[in-house]
Parts: sequence; structure tokens; C-alpha cells
Amino acid sequence: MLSVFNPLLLKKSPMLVPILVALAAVWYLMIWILIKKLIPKIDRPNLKQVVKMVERDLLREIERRTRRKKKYTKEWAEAKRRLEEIGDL
Amino acid sequence: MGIYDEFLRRIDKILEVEEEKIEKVLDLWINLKEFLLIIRSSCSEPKLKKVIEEVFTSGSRFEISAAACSEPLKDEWQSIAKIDLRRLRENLLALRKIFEKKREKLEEVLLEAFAKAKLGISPTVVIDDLIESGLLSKSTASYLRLESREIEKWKNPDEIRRIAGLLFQIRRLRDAEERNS
Repeated sequence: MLSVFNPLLLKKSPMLVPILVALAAVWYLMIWILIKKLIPKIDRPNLKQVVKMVERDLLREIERRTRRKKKYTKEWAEAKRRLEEIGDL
Repeated sequence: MGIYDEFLRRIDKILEVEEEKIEKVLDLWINLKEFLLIIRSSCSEPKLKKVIEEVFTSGSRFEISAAACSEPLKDEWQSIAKIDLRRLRENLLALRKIFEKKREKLEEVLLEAFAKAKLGISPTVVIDDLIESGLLSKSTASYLRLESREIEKWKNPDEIRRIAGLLFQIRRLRDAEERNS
């Protein structure tokens, strides 16, 4: 059986090794692009969404701290309104 | 590096740079003045106010002598500028020591200034404060960390200012809770 490592085969087609190396490099590059570039973009929210997430977390904290406190009725109402606007509640 | 660290970093830069580089120190001083003007306007403690005033006096003397360095009698002005710089550094060192014990208060003042667009700093500085505040969920904090490079490129950081305003509000609420308990 002829294997790619067979010296006879290499003698007949000297371009075989560079072609195989090139194919391996292309394969490796495709995997790298998939892992580093495409998958994170599919999973990750964009910058505007991240900012909204931050805003939501902070507003939740304000809402929690001002809840049922007479002194902060306005702040609580404002935080709740903005949370509703963002679509949290 | 948060907003407080950014402020101390600007002081340290002036303290560390060689005194021969008058022009560079002048730029650094002008950068720091932006912060000091905000702190001065919100400061109510007499002792702190006095130190800040001393910093401003020595700073304006240094500004005058440093600006004159390009004129005739360059060498004489340069030696005057170096003396003024030494005085400014002494005052800045005193101010730094006071501020080391006032991190929380100073952070609040600077955050409020940033939220009201009175302080021109990179939004990433505030992002660091947000991440370190522990107020964000784990997923939000990690996404924010991943996006911090993109945030740096933002030319109009209005949304970050709005967030800084919320962070400032939470700090105020927390302080009030601590005072009441």
C-alpha cells in the first residue's frame, strides 16, 4: 500500500509535501477564525446591549435601595420607570 | 484603574518627571488642574481647602515661569521655573497624602463631575470603577470587560456618563444608609 510517507510517492510527486502542509495550514486557520472571531461574535451581545445590561444592573440596585423608603419615593419611581423602559420588569 | 487612581496617577506623573522637562511638566499640570478645579469647587473642609489653594498658588507661579522659558533670559527663567516646580511638588505631595485617606469621597466628587460632563477623561476609567464596584452581575461585568476596548473608541460617551450618574447615585444612597445605621 502506498502511504504519503512512502519515499517512492514523494519521488514521483515532489509537490505533495508542500501541498499537504498548505492544506493543514488552511485547516488550522479556518478553525482559528471560527474559535477566535466567529463564535464569540455569535454569543456576545454588542456594545449597546452591554451598556443596557450595565444600566439595568445599576437601576435594579437603586430600586432595591430605595424600595419602601418614604424619603426616596421619587428616586424609586424614576428607577422603576427606567427599568420598565429597558424592559426589565 | 478607576477615576481615583487616574487622579493620583496624574499627581505622580508630576512628582516623577525630571525637572529639566519644564514643558512636559506644564502639560501635566494643566491636565491635573482639570481635576483640582472640580475638587476645589466641592470642597468644604478648611484644612483641605487651604492645601488646595496652596497648590493652585504654586501652580500658577510655575505656569508663569514655565511659559517665560522660551523668551529672552531663558536660562534665568528656567532656574526660576525649577524652583517653582519644587514648591508645586511639595504642595502636591501634601495634597496626595490627604487624598490617600479620602478615596471614597473623592471618587464620588469626580464621578459626579464626569456624569455632568465637567471632566474630560477616557470612559474606560469609569468602566474600571464600575467593574470594581461589585454592583454588576458576573455576566455583565465580564461582557463589559470584553467591550472596554470598543468603549475607548467612543467619541461621545453620553451613555457612559449616564451610567456614571447611576453609580454616583448608588454611592450617595449607600453613604446615607451608613450614616443612618
